[in-house]
Amino acid sequence: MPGRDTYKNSALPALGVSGLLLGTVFAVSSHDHGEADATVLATQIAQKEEALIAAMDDAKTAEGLAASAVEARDALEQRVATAVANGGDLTGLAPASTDPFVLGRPAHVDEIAAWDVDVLPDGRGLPQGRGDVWTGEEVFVEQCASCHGDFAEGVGNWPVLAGGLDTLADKDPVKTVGSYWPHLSTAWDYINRSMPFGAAGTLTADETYAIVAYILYSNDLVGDDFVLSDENFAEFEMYNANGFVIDDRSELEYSAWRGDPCMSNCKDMVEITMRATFLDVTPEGGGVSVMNHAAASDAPVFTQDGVVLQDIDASADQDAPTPALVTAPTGDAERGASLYEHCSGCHQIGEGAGDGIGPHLNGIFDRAAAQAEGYRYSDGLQRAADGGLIWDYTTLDAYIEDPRALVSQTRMSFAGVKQQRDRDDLLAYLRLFSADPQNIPEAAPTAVSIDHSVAPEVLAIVGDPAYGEYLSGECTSCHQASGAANGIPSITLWPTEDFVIAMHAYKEGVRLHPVMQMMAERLSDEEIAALAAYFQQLE
Amino acid sequence: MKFNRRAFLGTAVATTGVLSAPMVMGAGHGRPKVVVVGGGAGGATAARYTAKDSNGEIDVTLIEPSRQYYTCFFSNLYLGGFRSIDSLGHSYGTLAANYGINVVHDWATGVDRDAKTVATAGGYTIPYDRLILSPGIDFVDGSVAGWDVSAQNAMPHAYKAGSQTELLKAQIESMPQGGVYAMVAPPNPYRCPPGPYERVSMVAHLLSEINPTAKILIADPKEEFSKQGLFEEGWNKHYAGMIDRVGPDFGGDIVEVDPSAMTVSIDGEVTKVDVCNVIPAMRAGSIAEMAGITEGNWAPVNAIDLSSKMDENIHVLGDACAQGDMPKSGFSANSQAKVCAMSVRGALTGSNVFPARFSNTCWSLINTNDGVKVGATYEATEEKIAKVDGFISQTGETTDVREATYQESIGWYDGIAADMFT
Repeated sequence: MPGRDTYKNSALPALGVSGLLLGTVFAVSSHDHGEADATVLATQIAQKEEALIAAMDDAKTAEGLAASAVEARDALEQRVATAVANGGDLTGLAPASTDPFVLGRPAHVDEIAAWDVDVLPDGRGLPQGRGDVWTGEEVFVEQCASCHGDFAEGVGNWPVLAGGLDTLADKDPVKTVGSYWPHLSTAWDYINRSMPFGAAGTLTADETYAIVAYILYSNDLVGDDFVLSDENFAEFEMYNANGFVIDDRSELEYSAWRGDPCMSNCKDMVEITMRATFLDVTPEGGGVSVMNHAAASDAPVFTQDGVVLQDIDASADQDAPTPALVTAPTGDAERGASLYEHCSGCHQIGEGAGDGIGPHLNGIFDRAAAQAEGYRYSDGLQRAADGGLIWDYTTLDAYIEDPRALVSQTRMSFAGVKQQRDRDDLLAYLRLFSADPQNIPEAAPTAVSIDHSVAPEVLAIVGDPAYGEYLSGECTSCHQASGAANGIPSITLWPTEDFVIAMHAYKEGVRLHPVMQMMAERLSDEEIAALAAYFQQLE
Repeated sequence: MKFNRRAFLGTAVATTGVLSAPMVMGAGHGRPKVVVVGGGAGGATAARYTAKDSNGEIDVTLIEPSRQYYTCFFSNLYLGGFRSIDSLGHSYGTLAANYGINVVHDWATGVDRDAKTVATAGGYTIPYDRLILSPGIDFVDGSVAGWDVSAQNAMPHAYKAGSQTELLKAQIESMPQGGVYAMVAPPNPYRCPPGPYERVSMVAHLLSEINPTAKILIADPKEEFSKQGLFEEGWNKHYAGMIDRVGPDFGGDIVEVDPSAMTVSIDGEVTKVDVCNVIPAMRAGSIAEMAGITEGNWAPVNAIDLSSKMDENIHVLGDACAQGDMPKSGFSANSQAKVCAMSVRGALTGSNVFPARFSNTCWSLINTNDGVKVGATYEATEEKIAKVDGFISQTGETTDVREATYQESIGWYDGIAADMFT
């Protein structure tokens, strides 16, 4: 008959099966030996376990289970020994199981007690103890202040614990223990379980009471003579105790929204009102131009659409449905001034103008690009400037028609002014603030306006990535397929539309770069689309 | 790394010079075989694209003697102190590992066009279905009187990058104050048309820092040269009085050198020099001549697929081929290699063959942040690769434009290196 040492040793190599074993042993013991002598039971346990170890000799051991099984088994062993020593009843240790697979066991009351530490709003679960504000301050400064600040004001981005009373209705409320938390028990419970960070469980109950008292004090909710204890804890009412409401929308509001969903013709007119400028997910050319709807309201409304610029004089182009093709009018600076309201959010102009979100536009005509002193330009615009981009009528016209066409990855997140007349008027207005204007409509009216934008049918061409892969050989001599960029920009993973617009801008000579102009010049629309498709999907 | 036949071969060839009996290797069964000779801008690109785009359908062997390849392009920037020699070195590990290219570090010593095999100095005979020769250049014997390859330590050519480049730089750095650096420039056609003049610029840059009273003497058999206006503008601006070029009108084509006396004779006038950089006339790398596909100094090819006009199973890329209008440059070789790889794949596996298109751009550095460029696009015609369109940097450009051009050239270097070796 093996002794206890043998039992222990033989158990060790098969720890992986011990979790399973425990349940089995207890199931067996409870069934067969409910009232049996403790010594006999211990022996039986050892025998059963040994038999199982032998039976499962080939079973793979699971490392994760092993560690917890060691602990569980050691604890069991300890308690069996204690029970044996006291001549006690082991049934309490091994509640009867109805599990047909005889796996596991219900937790013991002591085990539950060890885990059952939560504190409820009415004070249930609180241990006995007390702590005053001054003691709390000492503990807080030592244990908490490195993150939460000496006055619970929070260091850096660590949580603020104090203040913020009366801010809950603000747009940006300061939610602290004092201003926001409805139950004081949450503070006690949380500190008890989790704090100090990285050293949870090291505070005594009295220290925890003291810290909570200090936090209340730093929120001006109690005086400096306040003492918090398990006795007065439940009486304390938090500042925001009544600030939370039950979400009853499912009862009260749900019915109001019920009904068959509309699946077609749900709106009289659908238009694009916003544009995800960086993702370029909104298709070009969509939306409805207010210019073509004379009934539109008088008040100019800015949208990011770019297709739409509210017309000041909507009747003006009723006779000219395709203004881009008619003779360019002399720009109307007065109307341009009104249109400029769409620009002024970012670009200041006139006396005392400085750089805002965008650079100021004084003297923009005939100026080299990216020259506003002190303004930090995008890499794309800087590169265009390095390539010799000068702002004159042609380039400004192209740029405000579609910023991306002229400068890829510009930070000017504006979809562009699509109507030639609007651009002429805007440029005429800008001219007023340029000392040395060149080639501006009033100075020398251009006979025919140029439409720089890429035709929708060209943008709509779906490129063949396989053909693009072949053509890309001409690109990858300089542009790294991996997307790495150093002196030569990356062209991988561009949105296809940006790619196509940029290549056509080179092809048309709107963009200045001799190599790119040369390369783009002999690419057909289909080839550009194929390249765009290939580089867009490159991994 | 998997240890397979490829890996074994690469190792075996490198370590066993003792195998004397010729043996036929890699009688791969079924897969068509492409052998590439020369691992530079043309060969490395051709091997990479053939292997990469055929997804293992083609068995690609690259024969290149150097384990570490130093790019000729940008080697002038090393002379000028703008690059380290290490930054110009590349190895073939990625080509072998990522694309399964069988990289054989050996010299190709002959081509049996009937048997369709390449012989190597290590004693191997490697069969091919298509052979791509991209051997670069060798020098024409006797093109500079008094100089032959045995004098290349006294008077380096430094026109194949590596130890020669390092030697030349060391010689320039140890010139006495006020000494003379002479260059014998090559006649057309030659590798990298702006190369000798970029080199002069870089040497001048180095000398103006360490030896400002030194002189540079160029004996040039050509009346004019690539980017001449740009270089001469830059020389006047940055290195006034330092550079003297003697063209053919003053006897720059009648040159004799004496490596032991370190003298250069130009039209009978003998000058004692401290460094003499002799860049002789060039011809296709010797293997092209051994294969019997040259005509004169170069190997004529068809524009459409760079196939030899003498043998439809052999393609010749880069400096070695006579193709028409493209300059002999790394960029050109890289561009030709992609067209060639596509054609070879099409012929061997039936993959798509698109119309050939070529392009080239050459950047040169004149001084710190003073970069210029010239470039053109080309297409294949019946008789040659013909120029379509081109551009060149302008004199009088702003410093910003020149700096941007230089930055662009750095980006291009990284780009083409990635296109060849990664």
